[in-house]
Amino acid sequence: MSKKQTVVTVAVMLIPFWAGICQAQNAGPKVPVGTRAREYLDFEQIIDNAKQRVFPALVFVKPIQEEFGSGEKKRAQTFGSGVIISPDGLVVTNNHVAEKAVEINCVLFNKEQVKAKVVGLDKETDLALLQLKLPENAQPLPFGEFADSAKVTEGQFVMALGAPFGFSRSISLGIIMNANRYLGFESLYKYNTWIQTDAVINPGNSGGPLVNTEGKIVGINTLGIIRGGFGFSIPSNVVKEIVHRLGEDGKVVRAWTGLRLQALKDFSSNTFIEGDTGVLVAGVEDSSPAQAAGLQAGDIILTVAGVEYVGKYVEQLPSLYWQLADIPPDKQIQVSYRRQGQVQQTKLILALKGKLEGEDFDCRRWNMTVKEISKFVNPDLYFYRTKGLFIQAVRYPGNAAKAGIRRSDIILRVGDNLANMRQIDSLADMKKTYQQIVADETREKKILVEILREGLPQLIVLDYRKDYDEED
Amino acid sequence: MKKTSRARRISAFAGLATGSLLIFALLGIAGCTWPRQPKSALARQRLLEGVRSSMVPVRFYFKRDIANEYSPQAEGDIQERWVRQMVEHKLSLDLGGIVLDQAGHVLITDPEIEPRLIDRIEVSGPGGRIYRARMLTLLKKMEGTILQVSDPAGLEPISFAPSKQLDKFLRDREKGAKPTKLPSLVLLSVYRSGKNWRVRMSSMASSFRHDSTQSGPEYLVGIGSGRTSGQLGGAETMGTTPSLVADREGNFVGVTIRGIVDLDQKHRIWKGQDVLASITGDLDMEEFYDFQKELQERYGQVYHEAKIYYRQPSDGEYGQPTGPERIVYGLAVDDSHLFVPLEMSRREAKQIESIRVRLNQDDQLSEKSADGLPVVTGSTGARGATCQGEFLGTYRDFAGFLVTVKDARFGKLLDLDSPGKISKIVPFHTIYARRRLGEKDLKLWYARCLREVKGYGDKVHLQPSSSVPNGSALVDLEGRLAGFYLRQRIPAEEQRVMELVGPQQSYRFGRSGSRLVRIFPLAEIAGALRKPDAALDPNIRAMSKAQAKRRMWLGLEYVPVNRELAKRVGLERLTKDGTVGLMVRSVYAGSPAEAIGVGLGDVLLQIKDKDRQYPTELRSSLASRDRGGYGYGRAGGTMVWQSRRNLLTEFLAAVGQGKKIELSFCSRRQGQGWQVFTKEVEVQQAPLDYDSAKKYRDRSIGLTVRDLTYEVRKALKMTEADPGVVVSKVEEGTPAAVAKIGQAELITRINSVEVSSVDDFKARITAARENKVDTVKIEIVRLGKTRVADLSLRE
Repeated sequence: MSKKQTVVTVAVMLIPFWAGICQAQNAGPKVPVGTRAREYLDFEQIIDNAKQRVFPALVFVKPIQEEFGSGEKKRAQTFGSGVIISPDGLVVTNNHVAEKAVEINCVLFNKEQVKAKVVGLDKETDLALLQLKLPENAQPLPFGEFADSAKVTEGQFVMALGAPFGFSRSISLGIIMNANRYLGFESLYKYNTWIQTDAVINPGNSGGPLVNTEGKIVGINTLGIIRGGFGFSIPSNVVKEIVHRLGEDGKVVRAWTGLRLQALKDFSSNTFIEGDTGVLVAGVEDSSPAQAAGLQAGDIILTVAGVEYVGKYVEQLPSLYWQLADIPPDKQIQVSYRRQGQVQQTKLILALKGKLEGEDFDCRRWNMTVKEISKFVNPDLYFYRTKGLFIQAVRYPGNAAKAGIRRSDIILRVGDNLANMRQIDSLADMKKTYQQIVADETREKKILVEILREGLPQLIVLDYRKDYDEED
Repeated sequence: MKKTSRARRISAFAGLATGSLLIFALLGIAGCTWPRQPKSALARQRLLEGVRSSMVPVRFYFKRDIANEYSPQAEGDIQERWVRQMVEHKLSLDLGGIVLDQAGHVLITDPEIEPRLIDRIEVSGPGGRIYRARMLTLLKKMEGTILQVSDPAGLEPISFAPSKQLDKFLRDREKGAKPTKLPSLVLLSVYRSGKNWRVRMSSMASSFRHDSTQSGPEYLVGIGSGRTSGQLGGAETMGTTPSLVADREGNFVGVTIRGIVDLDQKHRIWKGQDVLASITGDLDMEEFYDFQKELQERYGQVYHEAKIYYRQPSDGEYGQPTGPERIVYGLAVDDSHLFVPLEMSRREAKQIESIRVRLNQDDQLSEKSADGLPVVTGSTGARGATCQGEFLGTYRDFAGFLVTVKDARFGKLLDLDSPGKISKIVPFHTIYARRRLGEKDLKLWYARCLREVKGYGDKVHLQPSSSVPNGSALVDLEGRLAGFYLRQRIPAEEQRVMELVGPQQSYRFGRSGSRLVRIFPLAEIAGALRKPDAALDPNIRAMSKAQAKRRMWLGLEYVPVNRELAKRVGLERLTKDGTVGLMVRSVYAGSPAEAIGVGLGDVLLQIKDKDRQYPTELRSSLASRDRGGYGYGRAGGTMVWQSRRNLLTEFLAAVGQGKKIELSFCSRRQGQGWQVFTKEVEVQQAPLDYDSAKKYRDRSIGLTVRDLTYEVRKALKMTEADPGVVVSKVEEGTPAAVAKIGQAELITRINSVEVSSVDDFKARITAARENKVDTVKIEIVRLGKTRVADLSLRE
């Protein structure tokens, strides 16, 4: 629930960035409106047919998730939606529904509850593939089919199926508002554009299908806007590809370049660059393959491994990121780019994109959760320290909060006194130190924590004599 | 008996008298001797009768002088405020008076109230008759005023009689003869209690002096400065009533106001004959006020108005010491210097932008400057021309400062060569200059010094009895300047204040190092007024705008230690349980701190100004208040670097550049435990920091950029050589905002070429504009992440 809300909030915050974006693409099928209207006369019938085809495949997903965002590890049953895509029980849902789940229960069309296991998760597209644990010799299940999302156009009727706020098996109707929406994400979710629809998407709809009038899945509902009345779905073509890869490997492998791209015509910052092909390099991350290749901000990449890159408008950026991520790592490839009018060549060796997000750990007695610093998710903290842990959250009221430890403080050292401070470089260091300290019941329940705040070190005494769990 | 007020009064007196007699009688029976009470019951009876008949209640009724009233917010006029309250509360002031003679002269304690605020004065005579009275004479050697009662028939005057024993004693004393037995005197005073007046009779005791160089006591003192009271807002309003002095034979020999009999008759008169002689011999009230008008005129010529304009300190500065301007009045001490007898603190002085001095009509203007151009500009209307002034400095020893005027000479100067004299009891004039109804206005009043008090450095000074405004000029009865009433400044004042309240507190007035305000006789300060150079405080200076933003530094960032931390790291003793100490988080390269070996994790304990006796402890509670810095987002949401404005830098500025201090800090680098080091270091000016860095504001782009300074570079892990300027402000709706440039981000390149400084940035933008370039490509860096944006240069 709270996870979902964060995603939703992100979308809300992004609204200003879309304003004024000029839609350039999308040449829809040129069928005269009059002819089409005559073909589909019984609208209710059509909607009903479409519903009949996917509604039985709709799944109410009830995961029990672990979360650390409140300063302690908590388990809570949340809810989401999913859709069965094969008769043997493969279910597509959102990553944020299935991740960190210790157990997943699914309620099917026939009101049967079955357990499901995770086949694969892809945080970067927010997709997950589940396998229902069916009894042996179970009947084949009804399943939904994917439509070609490239053919989706604005104005088409769609239905969002799912369990908004936990009200399972709900349908809302709307149209496609925009078939190719760019939302400006720079780390997560940057690999696809989005289908924007006014079919109401609320928390709980996550992972449910967006269905067209033919009864085919055009997208997976993922982001909603609180009180916005509309939401965003991952296009079916992206879903198909990711599902395929998850089915094969259980994960999606991507390469890392360290490039940050910017469209040649960037209406959000009114930055325009001459030309129709190529894509602007907005920035190059430190110690990245792109930096090693000598690329720098302001360069315009023309071709990569012989493929022409076109990033004229922001809507084209996601597919370029996808293409870059698909280049096999550790292989030398040729990049041509333009710098100050000169076309130049360089060789780029991509690295495998490492773990995206760090792991969490609950220092329960201290009432705080810590997390590994990730250059992708916490670039601001990564700037100050390229390894180690930071305070993900502190619980209020709690020992860490009382001591003055705050969110986003980076942990440097922990110890009894200045003479025996232990360096904390990894989650393993922290776990070990924490467990040793807490296990020792004889010691004085006060520790010295050295943190990095605003780039400067600081010592804090954490007094954990009070056990807040006992009080609850 | 008819219940008239008189009857009540008489019965009260009589009741008290009977009571007293009873007590004395009882004492007598017990065989106890009461050495200096009247010898016989008859004598006592006579005295009490005398008091009853000659002491009359005097009542002052007030009025507000609306035509001449000052706003309560304006420069305080305490007397006026007091009268306003008295009027609002329908209160009159009750004093006790003594009828001195048949002509209707009544002695009262000096009420110190301006005639314009007095509605009427009423004297209650015997039989309840009300007499009208006016103030006639101001006594020189007694803090009293003589009233003239019109149509005094029916008043019963006191009759003084010679006392043989007393006269002999005084004669002997005058001749310097061997001291004889002190005369036995009694003091009779009345005080009001509710509706009644009561008499108190007490014997007089002698004062003594420890360091007496003369033989015998100087004064006789008695309990019984009679007081009258009334209710005013919960507080008592009181006036003092004169008391009568009598000998043991039952003769009234004199009168005194504070129960003091000056045996030498040097400062105070008290003998009946002397008081009677003063009725017409002393200061005639009307002449006195006429003389004050003359003084107002005379001193008005040497007082000049100076308007001080202040720069408004930027966000990077603590508080706002002043508003945008301040009007002060100073006295021309020579032809180009104005002495302003008011406070001017270091922080205030450094923000002075300009001073305009308004000349009086007698002042001469030099018509030409050195290069032959006329220099004086401004209005030459009735108020006189203005000319430019410059702040010269604040005096080290007293709160006053000098302004030098340029291009003009004062015509009338203050006479510093024939100083007047202020002595005990004798009234003197006070002059306080202020602005009123848009004009210079000299408030003239008078005060007396009744006692001496001990001040700074154990020196004893005369202290005015009534409230004299700070910064008043004091003029004697002949009209000569005798001194000023000023705040005593003490060494390292600002440091002392900061030790107590920290650097945030503004201390323009009041919250200064010392609260000691005293009379500075002209003789004491004339030298400093004539030759100010050596007498000025070197740390209080006017500064250029750029200089005013500069800071002193040790070159480190810190967090205050607290009790828990001190305990944990074993610093309880050195940090006094964590109340003292700043733990170092960062040391800047090339800083004094680095030079004396302060390292990360060390704890600074105290700073000692080498001229001061005791060190200043770096109290953590003071430091914990200075938070602040700059960063991304609105109002610097995500802080990236700390402001260099903090307890330490402010304290060092208070010490003053170039001064030697001893810094004590503890460190555990060498060996096991904490060791204290004390190192001498000179207070140095810091390199330019973010607040003082050169900046460039381009209004059409809506962007302000600053040079990268040491603390910003360190916070962003940049070296001296790394290019860029830092964005300090982006205005909404401008090209800079459209290009999504944010505060605290860096601009490192324009059109792919590195930007080295603000000057470079400005030159490049200007050049691009001249070449009719509409947009430039800039590279923006935020925490190591770059992006590219087009910046429109169009209007």
